Amino acid sequence: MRCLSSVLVLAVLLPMLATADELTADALAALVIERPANEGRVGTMHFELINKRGRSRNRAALMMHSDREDAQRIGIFFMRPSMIQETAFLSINRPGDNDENWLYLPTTERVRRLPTSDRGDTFMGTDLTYGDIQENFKFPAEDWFFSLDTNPEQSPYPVLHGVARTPEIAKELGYQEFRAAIDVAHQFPVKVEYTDTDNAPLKTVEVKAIEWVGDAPTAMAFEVHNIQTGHTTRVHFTEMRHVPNLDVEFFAPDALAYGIPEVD
Amino acid sequence: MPFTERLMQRTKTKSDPAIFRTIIRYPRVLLIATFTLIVIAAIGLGGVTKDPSVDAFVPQDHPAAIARDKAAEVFGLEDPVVIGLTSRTSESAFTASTLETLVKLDAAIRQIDGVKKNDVISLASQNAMLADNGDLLVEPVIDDDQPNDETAALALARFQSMPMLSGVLAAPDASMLILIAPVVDANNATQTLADIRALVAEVTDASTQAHIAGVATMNARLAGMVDTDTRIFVPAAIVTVLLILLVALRRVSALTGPLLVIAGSAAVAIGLMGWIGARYYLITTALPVVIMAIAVADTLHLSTYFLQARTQRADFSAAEAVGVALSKAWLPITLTSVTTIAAFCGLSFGTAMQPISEFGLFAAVGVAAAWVLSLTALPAVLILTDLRPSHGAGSIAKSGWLDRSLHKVTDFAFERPVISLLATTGVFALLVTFALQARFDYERQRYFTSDDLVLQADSSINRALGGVNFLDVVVTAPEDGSLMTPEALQSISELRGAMAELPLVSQVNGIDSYIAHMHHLLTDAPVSTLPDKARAPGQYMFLYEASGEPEDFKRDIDYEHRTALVRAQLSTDNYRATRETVRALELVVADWMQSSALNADISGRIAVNTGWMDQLSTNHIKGLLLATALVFLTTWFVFRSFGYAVMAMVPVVFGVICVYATMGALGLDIAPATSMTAAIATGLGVDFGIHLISLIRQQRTRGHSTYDAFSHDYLVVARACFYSAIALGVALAVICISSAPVLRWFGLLVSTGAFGSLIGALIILPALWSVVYNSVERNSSYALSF
Repeated sequence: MRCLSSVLVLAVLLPMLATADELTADALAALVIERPANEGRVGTMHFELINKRGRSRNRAALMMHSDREDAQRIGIFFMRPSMIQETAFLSINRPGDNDENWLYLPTTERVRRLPTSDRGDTFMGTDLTYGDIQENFKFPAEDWFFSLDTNPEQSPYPVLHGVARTPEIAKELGYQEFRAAIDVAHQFPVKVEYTDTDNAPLKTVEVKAIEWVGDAPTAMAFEVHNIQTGHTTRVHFTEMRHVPNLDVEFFAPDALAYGIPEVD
Repeated sequence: MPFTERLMQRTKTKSDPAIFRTIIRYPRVLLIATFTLIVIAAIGLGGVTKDPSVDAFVPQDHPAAIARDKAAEVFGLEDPVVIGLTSRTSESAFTASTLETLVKLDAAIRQIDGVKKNDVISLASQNAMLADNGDLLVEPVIDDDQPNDETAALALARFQSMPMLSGVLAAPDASMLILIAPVVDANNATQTLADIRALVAEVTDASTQAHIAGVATMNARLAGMVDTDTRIFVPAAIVTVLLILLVALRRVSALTGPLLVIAGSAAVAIGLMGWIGARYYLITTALPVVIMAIAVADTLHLSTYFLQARTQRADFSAAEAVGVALSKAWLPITLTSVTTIAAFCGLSFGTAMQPISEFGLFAAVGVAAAWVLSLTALPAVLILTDLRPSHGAGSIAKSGWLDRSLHKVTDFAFERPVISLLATTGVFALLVTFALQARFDYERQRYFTSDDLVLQADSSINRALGGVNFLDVVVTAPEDGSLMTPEALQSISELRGAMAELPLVSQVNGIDSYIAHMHHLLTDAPVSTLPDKARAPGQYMFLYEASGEPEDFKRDIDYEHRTALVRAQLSTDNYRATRETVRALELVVADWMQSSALNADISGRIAVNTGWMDQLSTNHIKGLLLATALVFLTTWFVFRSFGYAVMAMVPVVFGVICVYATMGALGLDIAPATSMTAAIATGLGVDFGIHLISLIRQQRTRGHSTYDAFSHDYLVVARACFYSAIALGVALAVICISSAPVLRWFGLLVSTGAFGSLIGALIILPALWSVVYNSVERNSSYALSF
């Protein structure tokens, strides 16, 4: 059904891409926004965090992702390294409401609610922001003015150019502009370049692998490089699978203390 | 027959060395050739790179410097611009307007070219860790871009809840806010600093006062001094030297040749620096002046002989007078040049400090250039301009007050040698008393005058923070992640506690402070208590990262949690005061490592200063002895007489002791720049002795009695030496107009050395000769050497 809806979206939007530039840019952004999402998926998430001196930290966690109408939920249950084993993080993002972030630390045996994050805040020591996680490689129209980059540097993909609608939004996101090369077939940006609020180059996001998980194209490997700090985050997933009807009980804050869940 | 006498004999019998005949025959070609070479060398001036930083004196292979560089690489420690903000309306800087200034400054300074925008730190960009019902909150210290009284009070409360920020980003008594802005190149931040100053002026309102200091600021200030001094020194030195030459030679037209030689010598030396990519250090600013001052002596001797020849023989053509002047002057000029080069080589080889080593090397090049130009370009100019002596009262042949005075001094010393020697010995003893007061010491502040704004800002910031002079210990664990254990943190905590007990230490920070603080906030444990659960430290850090920036602790612990920095703030960077603290820290660390599984290396600016100042104090005498030995051996070689060589060294010793006595009497430090003055004085001081002894030997060779040898031409040479010393001393005194105290001291000390050597030569040499050689002559009937 999701595949069918994707085809329909493409059928409607692709002709628009070839007409006027303004429309094409908005249509391209809409194409990405309309990318189908899984109601539920589970996999092992591997983080490699690399600082500018080339030193790295590796983490592995069970990642559960649920995308329902009432909320988007992400649970991350760390397995390695041993120092943070069984540490768990939960993020619940309800449309129109503040996000909820929870963290369980085994050493204090307590689930803690983290303060509400701005979308521009860094996510768990990575080069991603909470906004990046929530938007999941999409560019909401309420945040950006779109245009097509007329002079992409030998990109085989159309390049969507976004400018933050207001300085306040730029400050909240931490981004002034972006340029995103869009893989139309997957409705996915494959390379995004962000500038900071002073419009200086900030970071690049490269999606290295896209796979269909269930009915949804999913980034299976991506790399985020902060140009200003030299810090890099590499993420890839293994054993990713579509889990329809993923039980929301897994995403209850108290459940974080129960250890790494077993999902059928 | 001694070497020099053979040379003199050859000069007499064959008239001139072959090269001189060429010089006399082809002056125009020679002048064009030398001028072309000078121009080619001078083109290199455009390639000179400035490095005015005080750190340039630190040998890069010194263990403390290596530890410092490692710490800088691991923890991103750099020499920043430091801005302190105080309120003009309140004792506390945590007012709405001062905080707003900080917020604006923090945002805007990141836009300035040359500022490392992501490394700027202040309370405006710093988070505070707070507790909320057992939860950890990471909140900005200043929670509002436009603070009001309420948010200012909140900022103060948050600052006070983070003791590790006290004395770092704000004064412990809250009287000053600090912004630390690392720059891309701390040694070349002049434009960046100008932009920062303009920004500070723009964002600071009447209620806030800004103090701009920090190592990058100081280096930029020093760079400004170098620029200003270079623009002033060279023309001022040239004018001064030419005035003295005018007094000595009494003809304006006589200045052309010397001008070419002194300017050409400096251009060759500095131009060569540009060609080979050598750096122009703070102390290099004095190099052109030193070269010019030395070059003038060569030109003065040759020009004096030339004018004297034309005065005495009116029928002599300029070429014939040049021939006479060259035959009389080339040997002493060569000898003095060789010995001065030897002294500068000794200075260069005897030091581990790059600026001093290069100073010696390029000064030797300049002296060599002056030597060559004096014997080639100068004679060519004298011939081509057909220079004639002035007539009348200003004639060089007339014996004026100077000659009469020199004659009296020489006569007295020769006739009453015992009294003269006793008197000079008494003066020498007095000078030694003062010289013994000279001390090795260093303090960065002494590179600035007391009214310098940079120094005043630095003093204000130091006062407010209790000192921003850092003494570090880099703690290393055997494996990645090993520092995030209760045992390792406890060990670091113990080290930190021991460091806090050391003299001059106002505060010590380390990663254990943050972990203890988080433990306190999360578990209500007593303040400063570390967790005892094995995985707690790592999980606390993880918890922090969930809310804060991933590298918020990068200045305290490395990415792999294997290396940590324990940083002590000292109230002063004075070497003599802090070396005791460093020695004590060495003992503390050695003791601590006995009981800890961790390794530790001492680092930080204070340790580096102590390290290279220790090295300086160890090597200083070696370097001076090396320079003296090279000068002595060279003199011995060229005179082929041990006795003459010893005699030539007497004025040197007198000049050197004058240098140290001046240091002791005026309380000047023996520091990197001033440490080289004694070695330079060695090379300069021997010149007078060589000129005078060479002349006496010539006179004796020609059959004059010892007494006669100290008359007539001796007075001409003594006069030339006197004017040389005056030219040298006054030209070097030009350096005293520098805005950098260290350069003033340098100029003063080398001048003192030159005058001391002159006095030694004019008084001690005749007396000593009278005592020693007359005695030898009485016993062996005109034995000329022993």
